Amino acid sequence: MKEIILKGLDEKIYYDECDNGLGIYVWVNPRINTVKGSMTVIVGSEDVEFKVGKTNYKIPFGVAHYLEHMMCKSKDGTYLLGKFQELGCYSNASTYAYKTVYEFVGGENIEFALKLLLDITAQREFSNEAFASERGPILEEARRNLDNASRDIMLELNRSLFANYPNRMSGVGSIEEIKSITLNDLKLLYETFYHPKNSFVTVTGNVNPREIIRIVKENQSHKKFPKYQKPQKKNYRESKKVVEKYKEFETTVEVPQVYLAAKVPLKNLSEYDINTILDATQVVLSSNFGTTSLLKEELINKNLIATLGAISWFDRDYLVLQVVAKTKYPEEVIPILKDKLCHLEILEKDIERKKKSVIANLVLGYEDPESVNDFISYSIAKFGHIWDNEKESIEKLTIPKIKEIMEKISTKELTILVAKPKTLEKTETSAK
Amino acid sequence: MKYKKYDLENMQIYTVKTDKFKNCYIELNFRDDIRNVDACKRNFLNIAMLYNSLKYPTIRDMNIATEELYNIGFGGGTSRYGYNIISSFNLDMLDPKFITEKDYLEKSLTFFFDMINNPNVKENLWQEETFEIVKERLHIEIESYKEKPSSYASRTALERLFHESFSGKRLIGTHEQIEKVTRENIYEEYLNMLRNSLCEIIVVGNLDMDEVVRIIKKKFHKASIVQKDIPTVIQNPIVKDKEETIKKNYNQTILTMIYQMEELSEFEKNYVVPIFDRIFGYGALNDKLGKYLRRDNSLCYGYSTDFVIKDAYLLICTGLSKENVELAISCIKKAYEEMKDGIVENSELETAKKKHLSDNVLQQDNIYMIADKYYYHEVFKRASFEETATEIPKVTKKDLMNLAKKLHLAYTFVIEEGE
Repeated sequence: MKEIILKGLDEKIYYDECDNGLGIYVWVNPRINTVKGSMTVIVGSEDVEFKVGKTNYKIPFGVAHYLEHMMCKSKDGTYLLGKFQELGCYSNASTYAYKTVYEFVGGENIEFALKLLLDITAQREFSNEAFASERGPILEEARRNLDNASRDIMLELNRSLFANYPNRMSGVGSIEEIKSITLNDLKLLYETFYHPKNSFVTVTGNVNPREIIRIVKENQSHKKFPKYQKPQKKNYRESKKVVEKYKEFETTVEVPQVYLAAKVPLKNLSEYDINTILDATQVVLSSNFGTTSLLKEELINKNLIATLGAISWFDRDYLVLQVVAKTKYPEEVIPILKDKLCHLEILEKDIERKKKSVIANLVLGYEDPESVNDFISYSIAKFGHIWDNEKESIEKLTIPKIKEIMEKISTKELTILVAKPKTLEKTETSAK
Repeated sequence: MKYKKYDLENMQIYTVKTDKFKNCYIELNFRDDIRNVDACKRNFLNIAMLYNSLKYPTIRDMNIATEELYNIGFGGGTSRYGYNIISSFNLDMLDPKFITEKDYLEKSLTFFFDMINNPNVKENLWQEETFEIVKERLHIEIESYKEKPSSYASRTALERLFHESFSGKRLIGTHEQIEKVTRENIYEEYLNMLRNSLCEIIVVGNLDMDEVVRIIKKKFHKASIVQKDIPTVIQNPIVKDKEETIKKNYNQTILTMIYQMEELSEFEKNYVVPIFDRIFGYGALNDKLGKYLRRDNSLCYGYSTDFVIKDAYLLICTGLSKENVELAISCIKKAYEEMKDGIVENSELETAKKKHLSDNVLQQDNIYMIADKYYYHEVFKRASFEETATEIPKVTKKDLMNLAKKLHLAYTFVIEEGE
């Protein structure tokens, strides 16, 4: 058992690995009752093209999500999540762009719940009946998402920014794609990616790490898996240019929302780690557009906006600096926000205060087993390791360093998206 | 956890000392009878007080102050519990032991009470810019619930069913009501709130509670001593099986069904309702609604049930295709009939109790849940963690059947998808 020490936070994460390659991560909080266990499989909704040996595969969008639904269902059609309930635990499963996570949260019967989690995600057979009956709920989930403004906006924004990335498509799949998915698509994805060498288990909360590792290793020692095929996920090439400079579209918002997003190649920032880039850009955006910015105050006082915020995020080879405002006056607000995004200020006093907030949030973050579990799952699935120097990295973020990073960021490749209210006409049809 | 109550002349302070958390939470509630208060104005006031104060005259100044105090969270909101209207202000701060800065606790509490004691008012008029910002925000907020079809469906169903009761009214009010709030009468509302509301404070965290109370006494001088007994349930007249359908340009149809409840005993409210809910349709897929709506008929992805004790109704909501509405209604009715007829396996009952007891333990790992539970226990006599642990095992199948008999289908409301 190894220990990953989180510098400056007085926290550590225990790590071990089963003989079959399954990673085990454990974080302990003895003051509480809650325990969260999760199994992360490193395959997600965007993994629709991959290569195994010399064979290339292409599957419809929505297969990873359909598979996640099926993994939670037994042959007779009952939902396996109910078995966790019998143990007094809550359980759920979610498909992300890059991973699929199965999880439980409870305070008792943790050994049984953990074994159940490990068994559910191990080798499985799917029945045609269960597969067919799950299509209806998935189609309804997809239709529900069509009325979800924030999902709709993110998809449109990705489509304006990226020409080739799979984030242009809905992870659940379109109605047509869901209808086209076959049981063989699910089996292919399962047999290719659901392997201990491509998964890890995370347990956080009031647990004994040695005991958890013993339970997982013992459970895995009875399971047989075929040889891992080392699938290669498609490496997408993406142009530096945004797809559309300006776009308007209608969705279920009541007040228009304006998005400005700059597409920045990470190649220009290769000497810094991604955490430092995100921290630096986030504090700068926050001081220019956040709750303490002069711009926000001015726009609110003039009643030009209702809300304003900004974040930085990344996808594959690109960093995105994104500003969003809720406004009834997009034409007046867009030039002001554009000007600010192209001339970001770095104010020492502001930056130091923002750093203080980030540190406070980091300290508070290591308290709740659910958020620590999510953080470990994110770090390992996305980066292959845990950031053990986050606090140190923020503390070392000096003004000259921030300036150095910001000088390498160009906001020239900018897309502007305006989400306008959709007409939701209403007519009485019947009453009794 | 150590509970201690400080019974002061003009306010109650409820404290829970625990070293479970790295943060501390303080909540101050002004509570009044909604029948004697302009709810729209009270809600407006609550939001205006969260924006700034005389000492921090702009939103930016206020936010800078919170960041300097290691990003303390300052927030609040207005809610209703039966006929009680509650205006809350809360402070979320780090446990002072993590801060090297001297007097962090006192500085944080000073900030908190400064926001409450000294609103941004000069010559009896609320500061104009803040007033206008809040007004605009509320006008926008009134419409924003339409952005989520399920919220729109639930809200509209309640408005249509309970149009003459507080149960059907939103605290935010209407555009017309908001326009009637002025810079002058909102300050009058502030004075009215201080003078005439009950005042209760809850503190949770690893703090010296006597010291906290000493600081509160020093920093916060509530004007009057008030005593009121305000009902916690609005028992609306029972409506019989009303049905309505409207059409809207959403992609999915939303079905909402409301069952009204007859008067429940305290045992039923606290212990039978949550167990009934877990067996009937909590949303965990293996409950009765999950079985009939999703597993057997593939009609929907999600569904929800909301037992609203304070307004004596159960609201069921699901999204589906319009051609499946009739089948879904019959599934929901079938699930309800089974509850009434006691068609509940012993294993279902035991699993529901086990899960509820487990959640009762897990809730004690959440600082906000501890504050909430203690407040509602002390003020509204809702079950404490300890009482829940003792009483839940006593719930029987007979109790579930009796509760079902007190439920009456009042309203079926469908928002049909567009073409």
